[in-house]
Amino acid sequence: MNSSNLKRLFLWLPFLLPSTMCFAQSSLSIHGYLTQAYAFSRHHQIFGIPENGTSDYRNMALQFRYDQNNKNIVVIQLSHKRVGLSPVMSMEEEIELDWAFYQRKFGESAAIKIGKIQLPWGIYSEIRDVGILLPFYQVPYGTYQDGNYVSEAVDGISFWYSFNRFSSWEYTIEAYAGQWTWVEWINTLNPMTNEGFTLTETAKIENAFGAQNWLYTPMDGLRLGFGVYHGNASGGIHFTKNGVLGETSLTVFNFSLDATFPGSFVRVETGKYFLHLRKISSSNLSAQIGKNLFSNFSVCGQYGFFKFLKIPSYIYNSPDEVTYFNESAVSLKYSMTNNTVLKLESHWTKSFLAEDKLLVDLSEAPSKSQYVIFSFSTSF
Amino acid sequence: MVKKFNLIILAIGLIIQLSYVDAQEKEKFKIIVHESNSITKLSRKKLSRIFLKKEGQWKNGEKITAVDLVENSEIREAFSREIHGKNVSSIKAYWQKQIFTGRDVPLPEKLTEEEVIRYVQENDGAIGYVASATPIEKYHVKVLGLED
Repeated sequence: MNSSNLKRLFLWLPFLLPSTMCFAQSSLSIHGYLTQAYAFSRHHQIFGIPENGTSDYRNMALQFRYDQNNKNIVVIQLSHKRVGLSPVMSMEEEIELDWAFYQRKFGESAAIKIGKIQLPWGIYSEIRDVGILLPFYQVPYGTYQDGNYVSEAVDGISFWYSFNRFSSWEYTIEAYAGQWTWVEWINTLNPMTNEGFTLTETAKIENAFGAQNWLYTPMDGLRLGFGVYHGNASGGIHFTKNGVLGETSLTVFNFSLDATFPGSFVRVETGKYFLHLRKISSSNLSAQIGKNLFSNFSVCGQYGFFKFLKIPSYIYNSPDEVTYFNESAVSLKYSMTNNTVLKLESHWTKSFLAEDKLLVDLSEAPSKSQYVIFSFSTSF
Repeated sequence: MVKKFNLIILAIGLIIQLSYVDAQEKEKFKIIVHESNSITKLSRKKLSRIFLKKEGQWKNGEKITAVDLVENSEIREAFSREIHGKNVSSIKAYWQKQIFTGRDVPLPEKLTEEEVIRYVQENDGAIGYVASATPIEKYHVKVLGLED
């Protein structure tokens, strides 16, 4: 089967499979999701969204899960992602392996995963592309940097443990170790021709280890999270030996508050990055609030930023502190059924992420951009 | 003063209305297990954890196999509101999150109450729910009491 036939089959599979019911009762289950969007921007292209609009914007995945018994489980998830005209598209395969892991459960309070596993990070990392579960098309850039300096999966091992599993205060930890890659892109000047071009590379994070902790409170729906990882970054654009950041170790922290109640939610995440070699740090914040106006219609607001702190001036002529990304957004969400959602959202950003502009000087004012996304999400 | 009085009347009316709806929902379903199960009653909290697969074993170590009705069932909606304190949509969202984080898959869903009863009858560790009015006498299942 050639690549286009495979893609066609992949695109139609969610509609051909009637429901999960017939699979859920056997040891093999197949699940999937699809989000298809139309988006356009104003002022500058951002996140692959051009001013004249694109419908080449979608996320989909198929998950195959085999429960040999209630202890041994194998999960494989394949995905297809389109991000319009984003530079990261040059690194995207038509169909990618999201994750593939073996999980062994030890009773109800412990489990180990081996393989390509989801990076347990904050509220959204593991479900970052599952449109039906998200208040906006994308997860907040402030915390997750979707499409740049981010990974969804770790090649390695994780161990999950729950303390106080059966009491009101439950504490869980998922510790992991391994390696991953992330995509970097930049619009820069070719010194030979003095013309702008987009450089896209992949950097590696190796010898990484970290943990995501959650404290579940007696108030149903309220949990507090703390995540941390440490690793060595190399390669890509900035982390080469002679790159502006050089090969460096990095440590990243993230704090989360997730209050999800019937009919409303508040989610706040804040974090810090430390690049040890150049003594660069950054801070980020994302805050979301949502309220059901009717049983199947909700409105959500979002605010977030990503700031560099203590950034050396030789890096893109930067001042001490740079707000690299700042965003306010609002979305309307209509649940047609339990498995089908329509969203209309608008984002107002000031950032250095404009894809139709060169990044040569961080002391300049960030570019303003507005983008609107209309999306349809389903899952089975 | 008249405004205050009206507000009090309205509040009392609402409370009566809500407790009436609550009482109606409480009577809408009953919990059933296999007749060999030694358990006679369960708390709402424990029941909720069982139907969210957060607890998977009976006291004797036997695996719990809970079974749901399909999502458009009125009985499921009543069960969901009364036991989980959430509507079926919220519970579906919980399962979608479990699925797409690779953690777990939802409970098996049965189209009819008879299928639920038969499933519970055929599996020693099974637990399900059916409408209060549904007769179960001819099956090898028993009704569990609910405690707060």
